[in-house]
Amino acid sequence: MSQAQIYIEKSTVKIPLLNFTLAAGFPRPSDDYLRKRLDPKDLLEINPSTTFYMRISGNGWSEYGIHDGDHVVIDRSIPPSHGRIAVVTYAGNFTIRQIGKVGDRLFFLERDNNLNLVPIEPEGDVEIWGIISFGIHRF
Amino acid sequence: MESIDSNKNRIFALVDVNNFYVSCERLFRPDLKGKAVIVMSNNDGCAVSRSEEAKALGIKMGMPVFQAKEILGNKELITLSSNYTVYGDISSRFQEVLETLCSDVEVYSIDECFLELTHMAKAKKDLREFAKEIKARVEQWLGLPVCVGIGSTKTLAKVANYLAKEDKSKQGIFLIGQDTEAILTKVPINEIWGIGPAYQSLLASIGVSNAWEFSQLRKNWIRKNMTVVGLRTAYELCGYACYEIDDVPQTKKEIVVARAFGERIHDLDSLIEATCTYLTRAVEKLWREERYARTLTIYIRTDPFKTDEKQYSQSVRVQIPVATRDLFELQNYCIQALKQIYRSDFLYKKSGVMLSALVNEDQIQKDLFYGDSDDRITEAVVGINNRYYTGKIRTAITGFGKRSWRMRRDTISPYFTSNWKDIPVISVDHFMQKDI
Repeated sequence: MSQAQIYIEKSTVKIPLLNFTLAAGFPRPSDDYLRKRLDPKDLLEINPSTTFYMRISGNGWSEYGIHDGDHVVIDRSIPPSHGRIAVVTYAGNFTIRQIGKVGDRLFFLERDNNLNLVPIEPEGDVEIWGIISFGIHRF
Repeated sequence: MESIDSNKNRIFALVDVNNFYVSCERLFRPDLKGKAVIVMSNNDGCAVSRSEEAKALGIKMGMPVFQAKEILGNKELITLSSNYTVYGDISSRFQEVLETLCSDVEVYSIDECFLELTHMAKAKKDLREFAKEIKARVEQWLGLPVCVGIGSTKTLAKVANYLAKEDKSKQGIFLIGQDTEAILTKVPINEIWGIGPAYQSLLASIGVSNAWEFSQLRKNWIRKNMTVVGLRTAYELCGYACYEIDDVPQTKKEIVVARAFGERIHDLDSLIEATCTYLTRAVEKLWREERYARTLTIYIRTDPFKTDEKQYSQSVRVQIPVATRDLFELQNYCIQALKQIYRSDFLYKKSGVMLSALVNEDQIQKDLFYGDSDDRITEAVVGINNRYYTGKIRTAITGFGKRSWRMRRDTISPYFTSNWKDIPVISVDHFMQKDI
């Protein structure tokens, strides 16, 4: 492959008269008080490396404050514990379960049969994907 | 002798994500679990990442997709276009999670990191337990399966990682301790970091086929025949650390964006459209690295696989008067360069852009007759594209029509972590139905 060298001239050449700006006047004293504006990320992303966002479709969990169309913040670094609401995978889809603790063991609380306890198994049908840390609801 | 001693008794780990691209896809697509899945290269050509199920069906790395489909017959194979936006995000998270466990982390590639664990070894921490902790944390926090290899040099850590992958009984963790002979005898020479095919056949010609035999060769011979790089590899296999953890990532010497077109193109306008699009990507990278370029190289070529057709390839280098990162200035050079090398009697398959002779702002050599370039518009373009998505705002020359040259990515998955419209959906309707 041969390398052709070309030099392209700009059609117009700007010649600066003064190539720097002059500072004049007194610096604004308020600059000392400048703070970064509030960023909701600081609230929602406790551990940004392990935070993910998903959207809710359906009203199956509205009594828990999770409504159709809401966004949920999921932090995978939160360990599952009693009362936590988790995003789980089931039959190739994402859905939601609540976690309960009886004695030393963690269970999924299946609400369709009035509090049925389903043991959490490492390779079970239902697997924990991550714990929901916040819900974002539009009013 | 102090320097040699300080290179002894070091401990390094290499943590590597298994089937990285497929693992990233599976994180957001639970329906891919247990299935034969491959992620394809640019333009959906070859398999570049394979699930264990796909490997078990005989699909090899780099195999063309049509061939993979042939092998499988009517068995199901899921083929996904590569989605580097998602993989890049997960890769940075991977590095960040490792940094929660160890302060000396070097990103070696998109799916591999080196860790220095010397201080842990000195504090008599159980390294196998620590490897388990790394594995468990990355799997739980990011859903990525990893292998951990540990050894007293980076080269040995890489060997250990290879063995952790090869031997399924090791559950993804392998430590090379004192007894290296038995281990290295089992490692073929081509698996050693830095030994390519040329050295491999050289070594084969003198009867060396495994890592142990290589490490026992006379150092003079290695120095003479395999340069100082080969010598370092040999020392590393003997347990003397020659490579340190690079905790500061090397700043790039050049930025290249080159892609094959989805469909071959003939006319100059399309060639300009495509190449200026690649230039925009390159300029975005330039801004990200906070650098300025002094040289722009443009190249175009026909399809070398069409052996029955006339071939043409040409490149042109533009020396820029004053190092710049102004998209419009560079685009102007790019178009003029393309006009110079374009020949109308060919079908083009690929073009590329390289920005080189990169400098920092304080290294720019100004020119008396050449004013400061005004790159505020470029800054706005780059800023908007970073905030929304790449290509949200672009120059008119990059085209609004069919853009048939665009990369074929027929089965690309959504941008799960970078676009609000693309985030995964949790479906909670079926629960209601059961309730009723």
